Amino acid sequence: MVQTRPVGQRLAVGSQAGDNYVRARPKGPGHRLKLLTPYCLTGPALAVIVAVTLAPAAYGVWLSFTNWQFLTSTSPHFQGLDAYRAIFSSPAFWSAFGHTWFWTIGTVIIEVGVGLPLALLLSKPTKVSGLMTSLLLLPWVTPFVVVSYSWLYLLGTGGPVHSVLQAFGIVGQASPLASPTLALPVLTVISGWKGLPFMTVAILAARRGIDENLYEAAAIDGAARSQRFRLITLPLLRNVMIVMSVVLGVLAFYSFDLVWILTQGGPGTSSTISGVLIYQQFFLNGAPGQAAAMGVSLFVILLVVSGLLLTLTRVNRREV
Amino acid sequence: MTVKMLALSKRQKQSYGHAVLVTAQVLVVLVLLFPMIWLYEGAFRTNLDLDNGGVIPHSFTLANFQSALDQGFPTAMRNSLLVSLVVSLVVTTVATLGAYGLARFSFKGRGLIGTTILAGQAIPGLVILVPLVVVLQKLHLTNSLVGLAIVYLPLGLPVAIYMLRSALIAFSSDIEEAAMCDGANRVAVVRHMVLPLLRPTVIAIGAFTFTLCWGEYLFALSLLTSTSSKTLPLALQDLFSLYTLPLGTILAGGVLVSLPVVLLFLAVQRHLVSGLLAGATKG
Repeated sequence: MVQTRPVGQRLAVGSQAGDNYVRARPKGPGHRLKLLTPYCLTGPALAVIVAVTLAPAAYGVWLSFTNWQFLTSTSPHFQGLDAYRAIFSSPAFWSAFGHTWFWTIGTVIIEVGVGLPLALLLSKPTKVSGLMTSLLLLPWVTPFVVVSYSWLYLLGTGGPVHSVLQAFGIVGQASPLASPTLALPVLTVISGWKGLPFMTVAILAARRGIDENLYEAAAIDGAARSQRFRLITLPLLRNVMIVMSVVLGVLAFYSFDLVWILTQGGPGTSSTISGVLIYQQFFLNGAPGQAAAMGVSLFVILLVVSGLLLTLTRVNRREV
Repeated sequence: MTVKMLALSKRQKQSYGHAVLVTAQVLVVLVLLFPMIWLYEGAFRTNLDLDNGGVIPHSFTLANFQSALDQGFPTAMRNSLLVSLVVSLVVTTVATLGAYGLARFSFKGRGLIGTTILAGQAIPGLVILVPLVVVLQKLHLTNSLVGLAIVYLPLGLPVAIYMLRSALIAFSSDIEEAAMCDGANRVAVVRHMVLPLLRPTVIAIGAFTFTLCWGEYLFALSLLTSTSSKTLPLALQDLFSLYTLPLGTILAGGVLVSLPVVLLFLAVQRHLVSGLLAGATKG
């Protein structure tokens, strides 16, 4: 039983030995210094997070209660919920909010829908499976700016992908990015394509973790291939797929780069997602108060939704 | 005779199955990589060849790179390299110290400090874009690489600390404590025992942070307007929007922006991917 003590307990015992060692020495300024050591070690990291993330977030919450606009005032003043009233009554906010959900859910569906079969294909050990998995990750590490411009030309008139889509009659002479109905779906597909490698590798790692004996035992008991997939593979990959969907869904929810570079939210506002609207509200309309209020609202909504998702699906992250 | 024939056909069937699998794996990955392949081969094609369309190259030239470099790319490359290197050095140092403190000491407030640092990961850049830009404008740190570097500091820090702390917890501290009981001081133990153990993780998070800074677009776009302070993503954007430059130049620009991080990733991917997966699913 001694070997199966939880990690935390073993650490606690270990550090106690360390404390005894410290106590055995004569107390003095050196002892004080030793007590301070862990605070000096963690201090810089804490300072960075507080100064550059948490404090700005708090300042953002304050700005959201000011409805500050560059045109009418040079500095922010408390104005209660004015900014929130303004954004919640604006059709642009709700339209972008709807687009963001379409984009987020679409991105995740593509990532899981293509990622699962792809992971199962790559999980078969062959001479090239390792190499292919490495190569697969390249779009994922490539900066968004680069893939965005690449796609811009692939989809432009005469571009290789455009020619294929045109041959199938899906698009006309113009780029699908210039079409109010096609722009957002096409952007969503590109977003799913960009996140797909990470989802695939996560599922692949989980699939490798499944004990092959389970499959052999099931085969001996007469389970067909489809039954083995449904009763072994799917349930054991379920948790990793849910957690990765939430993680990648959150990332997609706060997107900006791809849409801004490819369509700037257009044509019209047909592909304006919330990230693009926040940027426009701040830099083009000069309304930092409302832009901050949008940021805060999105954060709260997403926190609630992702918390609910993880609770409803009863996934404990520690168990994945 | 029949047994031998059966065995043979089984082996043949297996190698046939293997060939089908290899083909399927290669084909699917090639299709998914097509936009990248097109970018990399197009950068070496003449503009005449590119204008004719098609995906098979009929020419080879390095002129596109020359023309991209003529458009302010060297300055942007210097800026990106400077910011990414400084930030990844600072982040790996700060993260290593922090993770060591969290993993090897028990002290009052340890849980709170750990949670606060991880909470930084939960707040996305888009949510703090407005307040950060307002504050940096007040401090006259827009159009400044210093301002940009400050904004980039928390980008990879929580993940880095999480990865390093997990790595430290995975290695038992017993040997380190034995060494200290035998009179070795903590600095020597860290230098000769802890750091060598952490080396692969430190390199992976350094590469990860570098990659994040190298391709960052939103804050660079929001903070930098002067040509002298622009980073590579903005230089690439300028290639596209400021002039009517030929496609080949833009593709070459794309290669110049992506190649360093692609090579870096291929060099460290083994440690990086497993660490990030653990961070994403358990963090």
